[in-house]
Amino acid sequence: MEKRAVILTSLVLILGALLLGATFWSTEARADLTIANGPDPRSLDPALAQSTADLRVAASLFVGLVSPDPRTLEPRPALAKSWSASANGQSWTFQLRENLKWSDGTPLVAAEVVWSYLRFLDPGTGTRLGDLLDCVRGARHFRETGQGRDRVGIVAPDDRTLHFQLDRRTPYFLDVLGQPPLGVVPRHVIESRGLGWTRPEHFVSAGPYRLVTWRLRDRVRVQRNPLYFDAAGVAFDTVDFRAVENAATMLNLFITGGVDFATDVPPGAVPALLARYGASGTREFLPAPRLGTFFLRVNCRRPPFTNPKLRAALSYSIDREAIVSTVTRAGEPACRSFVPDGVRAGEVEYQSARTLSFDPGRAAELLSLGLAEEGLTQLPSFELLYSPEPGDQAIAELLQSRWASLGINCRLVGQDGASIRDALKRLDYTVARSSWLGDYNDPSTFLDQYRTGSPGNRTGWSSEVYDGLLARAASEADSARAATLKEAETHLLAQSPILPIYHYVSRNLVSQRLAGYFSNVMDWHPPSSLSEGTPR
Amino acid sequence: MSAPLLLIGLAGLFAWAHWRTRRAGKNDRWAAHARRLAWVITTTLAVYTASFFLMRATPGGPFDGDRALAPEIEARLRARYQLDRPVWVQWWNSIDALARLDLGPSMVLREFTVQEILVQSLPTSLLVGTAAVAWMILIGLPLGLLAARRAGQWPDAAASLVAALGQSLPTFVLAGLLIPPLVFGLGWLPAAGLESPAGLVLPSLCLGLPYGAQLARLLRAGLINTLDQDFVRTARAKGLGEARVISRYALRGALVPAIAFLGPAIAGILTGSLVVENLFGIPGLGSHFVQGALSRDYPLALGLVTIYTLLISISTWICDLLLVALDPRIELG
Repeated sequence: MEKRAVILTSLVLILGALLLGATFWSTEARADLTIANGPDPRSLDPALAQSTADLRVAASLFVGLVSPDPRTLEPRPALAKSWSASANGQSWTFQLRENLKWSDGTPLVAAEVVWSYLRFLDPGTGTRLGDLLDCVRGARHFRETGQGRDRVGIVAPDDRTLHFQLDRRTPYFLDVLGQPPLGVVPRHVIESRGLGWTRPEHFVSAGPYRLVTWRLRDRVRVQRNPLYFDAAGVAFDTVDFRAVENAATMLNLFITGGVDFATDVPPGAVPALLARYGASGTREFLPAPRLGTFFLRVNCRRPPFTNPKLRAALSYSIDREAIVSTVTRAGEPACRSFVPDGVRAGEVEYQSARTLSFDPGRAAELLSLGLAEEGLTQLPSFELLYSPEPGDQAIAELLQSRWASLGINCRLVGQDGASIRDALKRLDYTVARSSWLGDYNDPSTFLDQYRTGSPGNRTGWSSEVYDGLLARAASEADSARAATLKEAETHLLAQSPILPIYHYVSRNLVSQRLAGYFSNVMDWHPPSSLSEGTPR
Repeated sequence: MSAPLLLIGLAGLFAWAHWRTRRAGKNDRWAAHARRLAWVITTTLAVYTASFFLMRATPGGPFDGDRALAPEIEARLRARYQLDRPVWVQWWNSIDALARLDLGPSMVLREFTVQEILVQSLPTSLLVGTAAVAWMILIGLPLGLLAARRAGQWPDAAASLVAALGQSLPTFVLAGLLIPPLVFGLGWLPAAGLESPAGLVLPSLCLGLPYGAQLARLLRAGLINTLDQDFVRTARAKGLGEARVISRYALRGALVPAIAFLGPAIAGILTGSLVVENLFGIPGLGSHFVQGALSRDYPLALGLVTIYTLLISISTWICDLLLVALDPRIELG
């Protein structure tokens, strides 16, 4: 009796396990290209994409009017065949390609592109990147209030023509239009399916790929969209974006051939990886500068850091070279400015301020001046918020010891990302770690954040001089504008509401068999432009 | 209104159990089961409520991001998910939904409801968990038996050492020890993912080994204890072989502490482990549990707390029934 029960139970367990297993192991064959994409995308809706992992998937499913060239980042024709701008740069006209179709065969006309942009701006959609289109007339008012939808300066006079009216000359307008969140989305599906429109069974897009499966924490599988305007130019038929959060797991998968492209590496493995897969090895790991900065925010409303001299003293006492050479180690440039090098400002290259340096003497001098102004003899101990990841913690400890040598005492407080963001939002912190990745290739994506009242500011810092310089730059031609922006950045760094530390580099591991991978500052490597190639 | 119905039903269950005990006596099985069920529901509601208010008291919210949301957008999102109402109203509404077995929409993975996330991830966790339970028994049972049979001799010391190591090695160290030879050296197993049965081996082993070690220790202690008892001596005196003495008589008593441990252990194994899932890229419940809390996805985190509570309660219940079957001195109560 007992024996029978035991045998029965085991049989049921084994059968159950086999059945469960069958649901996994009957799955599709390996994709032609497998990318370890980092965490799960939070949404496949391009308007809701925010992390680089989300954007990478969005960029393969959707396409906008233009698309950045993976080598040069120059905007290339995508849905739009050609375009022209008026002499004052405020009026743009785009001609769509002929016979554009959605992946379900429905024709794609200009009115749907307009609808798509208005949906992006609509506060009901919930995008975080709405300010991308702030240069368009009436866009900001609509996205902030939900009023004036029909006064936004985007119209479609006919099925193949699109017209934009801008508030000001915007040298980076085409760069903005090429960003994945501005991929065009299908009105006919969204209006009938609501939030569920991104499900594989309903999914419709106009990009290089269409959605096959989305299993949380596992993968997003996409397949070539035969109705994409350049379907013949897409080399890989199926692509898997595997959700792999752990960088060590990504590395293991890459080494064993489980993935062709890994998007991060463990910080501790960087020197070994550079030796084995770097320039002198297989050339599969070639970190390259990208448009992003790791920095600290200082709460400028919390005494004594209301005093800019004390903030600057913190900045001058940061040994940025020591941080990049002992902690990050993948060739991250130590910050001399907030805006990284290699950024375009319209037709010219932006020359950043380059005023930051490690100068303990100057730091001590500013500290004593600042303390005297505040009537203090010693800087009160303050809290430095960091996130308890290995790299972050090491940086926080280096800062703490460096500051301690100047008599500046800080306590390290490790908090999870959500708590830090909440503290920043409520200005309830003294000094906190922060990061910023540029949205498009122009210094304004960095500098606009610190304008008075910008939601991205989060330092309580406000400067009429700074706001005035940014406003002046907005109306200037390229080279004068670049000079004014540099002046603004110099002012920002002197006032030190933010303390830039290092600029990010890409940390991709890319299999030798992939051709079409080019390092660029946006870390932009759309799968549709990758192909099987001879080893690099 | 489902919550009042649930509460009335719960009170009714308690009342019925009370009435039944008075009529049928203290040892009535149905009264015991009814009371147990009522307590499972009460515990789940209590845990849910405590977690609900703890989560709301934690700084941050589901709509915070590295990029600030425009106030108008945030207001609309809060209204859509009813976060603009007083907290106790939200709590009552969510209890009401819970009573209808509706765990609500995820606030972060906005294209999914919590149920849909569970449907995707629970089978994975069950698969890995079942395999881990198999490892636990495969490792724990022989190791415990060996140690008890040779108590005080070198096999006991060796088995105890293995058990102590298995119990104290953190999962990531264990994985770090197993991955280089099995994945890189021999190339037998994939580095991550559940694309083939081979992918199941390492994650389930890493998950099951610590529990197996614990099981071995409990079994050893229990068996040494029972092997000394009179009824075992009687069995031996009757001339039964040692194998039969152990499997038929001693093991029954020795299993009692092990089974008591198995209840929570199985719940823990089945709901997965963040570390194992993270290391091996397993799409299970564990990572949703932690991510749900970290990203302040209230419905997801609370839904998983509820599932976890229910799993622990139910598996402990089953183990209690097993204990009663194993040892007649134990009473359901």
